[in-house]
Parts: sequence; structure tokens; C-alpha cells
Amino acid sequence: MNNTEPIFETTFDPRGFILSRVAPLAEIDLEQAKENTKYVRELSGDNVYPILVDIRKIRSISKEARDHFAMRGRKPGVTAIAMLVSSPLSRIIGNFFLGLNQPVVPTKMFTDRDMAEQWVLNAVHDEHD
Amino acid sequence: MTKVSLDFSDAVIRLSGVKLLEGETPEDAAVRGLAIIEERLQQFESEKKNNSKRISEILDVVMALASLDYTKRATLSETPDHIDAIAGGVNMLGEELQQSTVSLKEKEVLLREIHHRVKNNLQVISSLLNLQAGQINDKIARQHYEVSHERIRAMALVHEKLYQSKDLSGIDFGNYILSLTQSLNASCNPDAKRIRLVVDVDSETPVLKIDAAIPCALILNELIMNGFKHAFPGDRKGKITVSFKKIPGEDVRYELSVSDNGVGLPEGLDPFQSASLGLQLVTVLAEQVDATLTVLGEEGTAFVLTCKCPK
Repeated sequence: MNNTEPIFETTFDPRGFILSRVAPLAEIDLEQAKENTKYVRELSGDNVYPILVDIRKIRSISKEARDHFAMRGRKPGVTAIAMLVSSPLSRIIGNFFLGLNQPVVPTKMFTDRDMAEQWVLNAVHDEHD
Repeated sequence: MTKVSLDFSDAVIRLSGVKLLEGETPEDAAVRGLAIIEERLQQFESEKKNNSKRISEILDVVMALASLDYTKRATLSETPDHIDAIAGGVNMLGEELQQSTVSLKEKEVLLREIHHRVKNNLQVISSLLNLQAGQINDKIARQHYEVSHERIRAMALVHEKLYQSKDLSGIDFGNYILSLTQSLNASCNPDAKRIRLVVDVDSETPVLKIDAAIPCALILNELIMNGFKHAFPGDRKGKITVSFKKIPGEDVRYELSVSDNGVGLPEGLDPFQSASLGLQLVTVLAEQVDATLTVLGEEGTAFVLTCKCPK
């Protein structure tokens, strides 16, 4: 991927969740992971929201970055994580987040964008109930 | 089966997918088609070769992982495909294994350090008791201190053997016996020519976990000291034999015995009902490790402990 291209494109969806898209062929390291976490916190303000992460085009993610996103030993900045995958590589990475690097908040993997959004929206409503 | 009749040009045109140009004969189109097929074949061969090289690289990483080398990583191509997914997965597994090994090694170092410190602390206590004993005039009181000093030293030796052991899970008890007997002979047997201490252990002895090692160590310590103290009064000469052997025909049962050719137990003394703290300790500790204790009184005394030492 182009070095000047941002690794994450992260926005707040007015329906009440964070959307984070990983750039094509991105190789995520700890620094980039922390930067995105910081940005998610900025977007969230005083609240905590679920996140939909689109990793369909990811190339790799370092062990340190995976551990960071697992949020062990720190206050979670999100309430739930939906991972959108498609390529075999993104599926493998997604499965690491469901197994060895399991985040402390509910995490689910999807291949369908609509279903991922629906799950995240349910998580938003569950929070409000 | 349906019969298909095609001439060579038609077959090439179909397989290559070329379209007949205006005014072109099927034979000319087939020539173009053959070039396309040839190019595809070359491309296929080149991809096959490249994939085979990539898979070999992944296998190298897997083999490195199997030989506990977690540093190797497979390279990913510019356009990730299934092979890259396998490579990525293997790489991430390698990273996870590397991390687990590091934290396991850190824990091992910590555990070794703890055993080392426990051993040092026990040695300090043991030395303090010994120093204190030197300042006591009353013979019996002094002996109590000296005995406690030896008991604690026997325990310290278990911790020493533990931190020196390969995997910290237990100690080679045969090796422990050799060290303990050497130490006791040096400290409790001033006339080693008069009372000989003979050690007879199997060349391969079991590894005892700390839960079993400490009681067995204390039992052994007690019985050897008892022999030095009571078996050879006055100038009487003799020997104490410490033996640790696998019981023939049994899988995990061992026999630990301390025997001497001394004066034997006093008339009427039941070692299982004795008021002596040492013998009481031996009985209680034998129960703790689920061992059977037998005392034989012919030609001296023999304490025989039969216990299970799982591999």
C-alpha cells in the first residue's frame, strides 16, 4: 500500500456506532493501532460505542497490535466489535481475534456487511435498554 | 457417449477463445490461438513454480516452529491469496508461540529464583540455630538445636536441588540421597572411620515432586541421624547403609531403607509408639507420603520404607 495513505478510515455513524475501515494491503503495527484507538476515543467523547471494523483488505497485523486490540488490562474504548472479513487472509486474522487474541468485549466475525451492521445496531440498542 | 468431430483448427480456436477476424482462415486463427495457449501454459507453469516456492517457504517456517525456533516468518505476496492466508496464519501462530515461550521462561526464572531464596533463607535459619546451639551449655537443649539445624538443612537441600533441576518440577531423589548423606557424614559423624556410611542407590532413580521430596528427605535425615546417635555407643564400630532401589517386578514402587549393624533398638521399644520426636516424625511423614514403614530388628536395626514414586 501507499505509505502516505492512512491505515484506518474511522468515522462515527449517526446510528450510534464507530465504523473503521482498514486500507487495502494495510500492515498494522502497534503505533497505528494505538493511534486508531485514540481517534475512536476522540470520536466517542464521553460515551462508549460498538465498532464495526472492515478488515476485508488487510494484509497483516502485528502481535503487539493484536494484543492492543484485545484490550486486556485496559479500559475498553468500545462496547462490542463486529469484524467484516472476506479474503482468506482477513478470515484468518479475524479468527485470531476470536481465539488467541480475543478482545474483552463481545466480538463477532461477519462476511456480510448488512448483517454486521445489524449486529452492531443491536449492540447499540442493548446498551440503551 | 456423444461423438464429437472437430478438426485441429476448430479445437485450438475453441480452447484459446480467439475470434475469427474478417477474411481470416480458421488455420490462421488457430496459429494465433496456439500462441495464446502456449503463453497461458507458460504462465501456468510459472505460477505453479512460484506457488511451490511459497509453500516450501511456509513449510520451512512450520518446521522451524516444530524445532522451537519461533523467529522465522513467511513472506506475503503483494496480492494476498489463499497461500498468503496460510502464511499469515503460520506467522501469527509463530508470534503467539514466541510470546508464550518468553512468558514461560520468565516464570521459570522467577520460580528458580524463589527456590534459591527459600534455600538461602532456610540456610540462614539453620546457621542461626547452629550458632545458638554453640552458646548453650545444657547438653540436651544443645542437641535439640543441633537436630533442628540438620532438619532445616535437609529441607534447604531439597530447594537447592530443585532450582538446580532441569524443569523445576521435582528432584532426582537418588542424587539428593548422595548429597544429604555426604553432608550428614561431614557434620554428624566426627569419626567416619568408626561409623561407615554406605550409600547404595539405583543408577536411575525417580524424580520426586516437592510434596513428596520434603517428607522423604526429613525421614531420611531423621533415620541417618538416629543411626549416628544411637546405633554405635562407645567405641563400637559399624556401618550404616542407606539404600534406595526399585522393587523388582514392580513398576513404580521403591524401597528406601536405612539399616545399621549396631546395637539394635532398646528392649521393649516400639518405634511406632515411641516418645522420641524423631521417630514420631518418621511415622507421621511416612503416612503423609502414603508409604509403608517396616522396622526390622535382627543384627542391628533396619527401617524400610516402601512407597510409590510415579514416573
